[in-house]
Amino acid sequence: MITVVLLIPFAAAGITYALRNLRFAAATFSAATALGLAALLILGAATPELVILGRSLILLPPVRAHLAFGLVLLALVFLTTWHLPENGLSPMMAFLSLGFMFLAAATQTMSLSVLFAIASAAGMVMTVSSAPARPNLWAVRMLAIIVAAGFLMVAAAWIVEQPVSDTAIVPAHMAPILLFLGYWVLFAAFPFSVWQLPGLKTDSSIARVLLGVVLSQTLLVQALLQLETNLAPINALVPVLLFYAGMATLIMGGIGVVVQHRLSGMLAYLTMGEFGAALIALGSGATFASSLGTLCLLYRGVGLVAMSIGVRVLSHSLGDDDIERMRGVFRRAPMAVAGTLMAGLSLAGFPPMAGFSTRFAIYRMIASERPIWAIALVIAGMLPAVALTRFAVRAFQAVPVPGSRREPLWPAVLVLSLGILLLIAGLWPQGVGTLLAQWGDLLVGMSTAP
Amino acid sequence: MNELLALGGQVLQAAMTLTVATLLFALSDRRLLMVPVALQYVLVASLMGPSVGLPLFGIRLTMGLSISAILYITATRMEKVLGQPIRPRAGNRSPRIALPQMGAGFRVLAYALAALLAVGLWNSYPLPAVPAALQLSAVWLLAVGGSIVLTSADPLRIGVGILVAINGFQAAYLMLETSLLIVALTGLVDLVITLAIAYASDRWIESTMGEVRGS
Repeated sequence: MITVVLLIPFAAAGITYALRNLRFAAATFSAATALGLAALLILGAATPELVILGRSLILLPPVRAHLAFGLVLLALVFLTTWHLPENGLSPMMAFLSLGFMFLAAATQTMSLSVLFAIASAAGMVMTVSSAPARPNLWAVRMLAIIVAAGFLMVAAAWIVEQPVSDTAIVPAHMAPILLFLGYWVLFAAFPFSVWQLPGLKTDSSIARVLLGVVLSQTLLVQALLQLETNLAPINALVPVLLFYAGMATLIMGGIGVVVQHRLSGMLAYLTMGEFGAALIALGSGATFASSLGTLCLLYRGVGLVAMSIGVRVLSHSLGDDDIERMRGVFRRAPMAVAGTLMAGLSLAGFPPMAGFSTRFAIYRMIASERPIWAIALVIAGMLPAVALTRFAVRAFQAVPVPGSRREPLWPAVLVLSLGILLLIAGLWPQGVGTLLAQWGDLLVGMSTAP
Repeated sequence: MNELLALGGQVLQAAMTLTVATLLFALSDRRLLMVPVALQYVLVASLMGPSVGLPLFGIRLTMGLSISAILYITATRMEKVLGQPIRPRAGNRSPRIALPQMGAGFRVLAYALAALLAVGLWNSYPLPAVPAALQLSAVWLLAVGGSIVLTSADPLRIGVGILVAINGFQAAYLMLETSLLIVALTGLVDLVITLAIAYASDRWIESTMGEVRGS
């Protein structure tokens, strides 16, 4: 089973390359493959370890569950590329990145795993640069940061795997510090969140899901799973760092949203803020830390995909995603506006959306010990309301929208459905919890507290 | 410099080759930039050769030359597109696309400072398991590569800086980790990163041209 899972993305990359000029075929094939892979990952629970050239390959249950979640989101995005076209090479590059990420997650030899993760991130940068944009250097700068993080992690891997006789060369206590620093940069927590923002702002939902969900979540889960092994010497420090980095990320996300003039910019900072909330939960050391953090990540993933597709639908209708261009757009794209607003409110943690239940739990947890910090977080958390209100006020104006097109039906229905899902999850959290109970057990099956 | 001269032999040859390569990195023509790129791959592979054996030497050399060839194709396209005169619209007097770049003199100075820093580091923190000449090459390439990344204003040049820094890192790493699988995988990662740089440069040219034509 694991051999099939590891080979499918590379085969799919080849097929999607052949289908790059057939938009409908490429969209349906990519979505079906991503869903099939997700099913294989969820169903293949009892998959034995595979040994190739003396190196063992196995996908641990929490990693499989998170990868499957990312694949389901990617499948939804692939389906919309029929109506909202992206670069024809994007699905191919996405599958290549996924293939390398699967290998990185499955390889138990640390140095190989790190090298595969770097290859995967480089593939994601290619997906980012495939999106239409004004001339900028972000893609190569992202690559420079990924390579720098790779240096740290490869050095850490070498220290961990070196023969005992070589221990005099480099002090062994450096390994966990270098390794965690590399993870920290790659999963983009404060202050390293800045490298991912241009990728999240880009006009490509595929790139957004790859960077914001697949890369960040897989590496975060991998780092947490290594708390008892490679990161054991600093396993008391890691949750503390995650907690404070999470607070800074949430505050930076909140402030960043207010100054944005484009919906894609708002989406990038909202996503960043919600990732901060997940880090706070995971690093809190509370008994429910894993489940709360995981729930944050799940709602964030759904919100990101819904808002990303919504922003692309609105750009498609108006030709731009500038907030000033949104005047009267509700009349042309009602479902996309409603879905985008619901997703944005959920990412910002406002009631009655799904994001509120997790955000409120985090505020309450922090307020019980450090009330001042809780107030600061609540203020930062309220700031996105200003930006979302600015968007809503313009969207609901009753003015003509010259030169606009009606929203494409299928992506708009999808955005609205995801928005309604987030609303239902917010109003009836137990219902979603019951539905996803078994999968949830896998997702939260990781240790965060020492 | 006295330490370099005192060591003689391989270290001196490496230092001279690196100096030439560093000076060539300051050139403005992107196609000529591939000469020092190929030169530093040949230097590092030949320094690693005696320690790692012929197969690994062959892999590294082939990989380095392939990377240089891929980048040369992109550099040729970039020079052709950016060098051609733009058909002027009314009021547009700019004959070709101008990039905000520092001159060659500034680049030489920046890279020379990076190289001096590298010699200082090499002298202060020796790695016993890595031959002196290779260690000097590693820190030199890391420092110069970082400097190229920081002082460049076009994606291809930044990409070259990234690859030079990676080659410097791998010069030391592959002396410590000589597993064939790791060597092959580092080569694969180098290729993926090169393709990402070439693709990003290509997209940048297209969007720059689109912007210029639209203005």
